[in-house]
Amino acid sequence: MTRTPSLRRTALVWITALLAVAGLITAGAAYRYSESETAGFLDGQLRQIALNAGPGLAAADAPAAPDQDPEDRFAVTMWDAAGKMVHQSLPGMDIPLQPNSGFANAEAGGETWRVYTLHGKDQAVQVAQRVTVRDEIASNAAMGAALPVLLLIPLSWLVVGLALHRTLRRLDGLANDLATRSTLAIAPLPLVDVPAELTPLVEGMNGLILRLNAALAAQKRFLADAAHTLRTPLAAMQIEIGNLSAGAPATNQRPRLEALAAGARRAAALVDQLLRLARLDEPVPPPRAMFDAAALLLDCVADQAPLAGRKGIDLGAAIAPLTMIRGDEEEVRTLFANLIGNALTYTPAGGKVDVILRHTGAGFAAEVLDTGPGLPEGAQAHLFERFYRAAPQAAEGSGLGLAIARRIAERHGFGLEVCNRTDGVSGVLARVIMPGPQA
Amino acid sequence: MRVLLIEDDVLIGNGLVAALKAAGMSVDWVRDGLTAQEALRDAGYAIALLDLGLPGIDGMAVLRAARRQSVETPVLIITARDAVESRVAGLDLGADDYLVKPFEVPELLARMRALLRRRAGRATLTLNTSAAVLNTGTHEFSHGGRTETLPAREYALMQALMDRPGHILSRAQIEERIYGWGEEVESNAMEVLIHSIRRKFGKGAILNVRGAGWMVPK
Repeated sequence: MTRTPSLRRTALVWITALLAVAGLITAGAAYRYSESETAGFLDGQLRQIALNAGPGLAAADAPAAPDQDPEDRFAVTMWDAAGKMVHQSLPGMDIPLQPNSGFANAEAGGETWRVYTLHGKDQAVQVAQRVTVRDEIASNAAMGAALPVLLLIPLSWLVVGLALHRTLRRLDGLANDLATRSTLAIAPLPLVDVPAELTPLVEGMNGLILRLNAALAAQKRFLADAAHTLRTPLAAMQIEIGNLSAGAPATNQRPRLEALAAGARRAAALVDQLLRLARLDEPVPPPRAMFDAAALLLDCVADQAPLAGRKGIDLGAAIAPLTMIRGDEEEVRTLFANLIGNALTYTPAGGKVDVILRHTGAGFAAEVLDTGPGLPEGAQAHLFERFYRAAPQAAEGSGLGLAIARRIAERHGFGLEVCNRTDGVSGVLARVIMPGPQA
Repeated sequence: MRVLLIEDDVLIGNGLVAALKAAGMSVDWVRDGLTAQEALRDAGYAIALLDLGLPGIDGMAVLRAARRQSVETPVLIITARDAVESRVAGLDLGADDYLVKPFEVPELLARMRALLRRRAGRATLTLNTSAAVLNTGTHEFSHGGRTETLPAREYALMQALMDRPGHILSRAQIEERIYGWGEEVESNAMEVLIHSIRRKFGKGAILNVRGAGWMVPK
């Protein structure tokens, strides 16, 4: 599955990119503008000096300011009408006189100079400044203009990220509510603290929750109604089969009638279990009362003792007394009865079924062990599925017994495991782990 | 013996009438609550079979009205409702037994017989299960088509078991009922008694649950 990018990430990427581009453009423009302004200002300076230059002092006579870099000095040179140099502020720096008045660049002493030349009636003045110095001044000024903008870019990212996070955190709360919601919860999602843009979405979800619940309830009702309605014709069928069997002479019809009766019996049992399952699917938790699991389990053993007797199975019980648990006694009776019934169904005549109840560290464990063929390979994964039958060749069994058992275990918070015996004997071990009453 | 059948479903009604007639009973069949109320006032019925889902007046209401009018006819509810609540409600209202549809005819007949015996048994003091009868007056025991008078210890054993059919009694619980205070009990004495009864009446007369004890089926 490809994940669609998150709203948070998309918004963050676009906004930060936009802020970065805008910031860079602003900084670049400020840099360029400030640089060209500074160049213009420096040119103006050259011109002012040229206009006001008198004979002046030779550089050697003027004391240098202590903080002045000699590089920064202007070179002022004067010529008389005959073209003879009459003044030079930087001795030895012979910048040739430019033929025309105005700004120009000239080479002297291996450096490039910015030069302003003024040709007068009886003299010419030329003022020059090193280009490297001018560039340094200009770029310093431009940097000063652009740097604050550059610094603002990461700061704006931080602010935007924080604002986004605060807004979207409310969405996280909503998602959390949805994720941890039980399928049985029918309450609508709360609309408080939901951003306005999401209100229609939440309202739509609430509508869906209501419709889903209605559909679920209808499905359960249908299952219960169908099973219930099936009972009456099944009852009529069983009665008429009974009537036929009672009147039939001991002819070759009898095996056919018995097969018919067995089929009707199985259908009746199936309907019974479907109804039970439908009831267990109801969201209402079982009422909790304290009762003695030992007495109940012994009762279940007694209920199945006649079947064990008929099948010739040696039924044994080792039940620790006084094991109080919390739950719905009728449901737990069904759970135990299903496990013992399964063991008796799959154990051949002459086999053994043992029912054990013992104390564990935190509670109790009820175990049912049989000496049947055990679970076939691959059955383990499907055991608790509805209508799954590990051994379809056995005529009895609806495939619902363990599904019902697991549902009851879930409703009570019991552990339930069904696996092959590990003590070297062929057969199945079914174990129910029950917490003690204090748990 | 006259039986009142209160059942609105034609298929089931026809089947039950045939089954009950085949068992030697005479059957009156009514199909709605109102007629059922009338019919129940007739004291001549040995037993009434009552369906709960009736047109007109619900079966529960029919039962409540009949008991309020002191109708004492034993009532066996036959219904498709199997929720524990409706079972309890039915028995609380004065029904004598409760059978969930679908059921098999032999099961119904056994329940009817047990009900009638229970009514009659108060006079003759018998303990009954679906398969056995123990007469507490004559100490006669019937099971699997055989009837014999039991010797004292065997009778005491069977009485202990038949008092609570369907329940497993431990060795200690049974010994307490059979032997007096301070009486020396041989370690295999109970096995001898049980073996003797099984030899006479068949293995199914007493069931053993290894490690837990003995019982008779309900």
